[in-house]
Amino acid sequence: MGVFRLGGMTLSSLFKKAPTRRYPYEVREPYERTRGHVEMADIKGCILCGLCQKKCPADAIVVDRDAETWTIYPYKCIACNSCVKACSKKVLRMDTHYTAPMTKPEPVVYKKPPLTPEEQAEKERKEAERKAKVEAAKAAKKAKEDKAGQEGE
Amino acid sequence: MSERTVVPFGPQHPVLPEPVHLDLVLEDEKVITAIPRIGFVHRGLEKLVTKRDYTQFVFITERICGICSFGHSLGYVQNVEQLMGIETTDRAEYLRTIFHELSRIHSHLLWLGLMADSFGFEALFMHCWRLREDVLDIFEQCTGGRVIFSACDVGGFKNDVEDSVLKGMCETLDRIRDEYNSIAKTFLTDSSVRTRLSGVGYLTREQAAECSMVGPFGRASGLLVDDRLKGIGAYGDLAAFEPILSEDGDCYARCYVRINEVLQSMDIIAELVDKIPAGDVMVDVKGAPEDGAKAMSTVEQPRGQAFYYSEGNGTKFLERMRIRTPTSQNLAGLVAALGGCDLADVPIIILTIDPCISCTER
Repeated sequence: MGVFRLGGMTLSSLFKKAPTRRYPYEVREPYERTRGHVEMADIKGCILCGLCQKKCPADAIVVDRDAETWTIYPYKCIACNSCVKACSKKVLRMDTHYTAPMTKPEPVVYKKPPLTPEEQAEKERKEAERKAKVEAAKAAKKAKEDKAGQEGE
Repeated sequence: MSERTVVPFGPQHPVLPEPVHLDLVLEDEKVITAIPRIGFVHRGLEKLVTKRDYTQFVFITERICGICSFGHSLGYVQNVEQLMGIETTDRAEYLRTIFHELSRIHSHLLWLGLMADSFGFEALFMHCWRLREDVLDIFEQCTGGRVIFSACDVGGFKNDVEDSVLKGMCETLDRIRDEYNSIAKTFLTDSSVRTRLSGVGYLTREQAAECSMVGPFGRASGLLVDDRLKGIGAYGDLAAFEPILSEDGDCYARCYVRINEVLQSMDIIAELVDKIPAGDVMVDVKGAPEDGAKAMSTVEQPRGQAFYYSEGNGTKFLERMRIRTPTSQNLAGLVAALGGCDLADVPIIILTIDPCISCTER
């Protein structure tokens, strides 16, 4: 029993470096795994599949295929990393810094940029290729069915 | 006999981190009885199980409580794994247990700080919370979150933690241990602390058993209640495990139990880090719980035993999820401990059950 049991620790604190920081003037470097906020790293690469929206437990992501936008509500987001893990094209990124302060909880909208003439031509070419493949598959299927029907007769 | 008066205590009070209301029936300065009332922070989280599928619900169970968030996610995933008949990997079990014990350290350090604050020992309060920061840094480094870790998932542990990081964790804990010993010495031997806590809020073992008290509150009255003894998870692989007990049953004993549990958790972590097997931390989980499947499980959280019950209906959404938290058990013990105490001791006695009202109401 006695008093001033914490005296040693308290006195030595006087001569040690302060364990606190003058935040926000001094910001500690975040750890590699720190979950700060979700960022769309490459909107061009996003195929608007909507997997992230489906996986989000907080309904913080809205994917609009018609308007070609990917929207996140930073103040709904709980930084759980589900969308980043679910992303099929790996275009989402978990940034290690926390969401920046805002005066209003507004959504952050990413819109897919318009395609350049070359990209448009490439897209049309791929679309035509895909259509041709589908047509060929249909024709092959029909031919197979006809053949099977003739054999049956 | 003097006249009886009723003094309302809470839901807002400097000593209460969370809202609970007590009607204190007083005779002069003595509390005759206390009538608790809860329901100020009910959020209806159990019902959300019908709106979020079983993998998304992990994030909701974590938010039941800020301090025992890992305990809740662990209890939930263990329960759902039992429901679906999934067996996770050994490494995941070890990691879960290590982080569960780490969260016990951070919870107890937080409580010790609050306790010191409640009897006006501000320097002690700040040193407790300073040490807790180091534990929170370990969490952030390993899982990415300081309080809400999102580390547990149905089927395992989301991100593996490298052995070198685990070793570093043990070194940090060793460093904390030296400073923690000074704090523990202050709590246990400083005459001002001892005078404030000894003999206050006394409960016998019989009373504790009658009120079905759990966790450190029950153990401080000599009641052998500790779910870690069941050996679920990596607890079964420990060389020896003896719960910390005390026969005194007063506020000092509850302090003693929690102080020693921090040291015990540090030992458990060191042992598990030495023994942790290599391998994967996640198994593939497919399908949904079967229709009519039921599962019950318990977890020893920092505040005591938490009970989980779930029911499947063949879809990805569970039919029912029920969680009984340690504080809802301990409220009866709190009322028993308050009977006959001085009005000035009420805040300390309330704190010694480590009330977690958000847990209780969900």
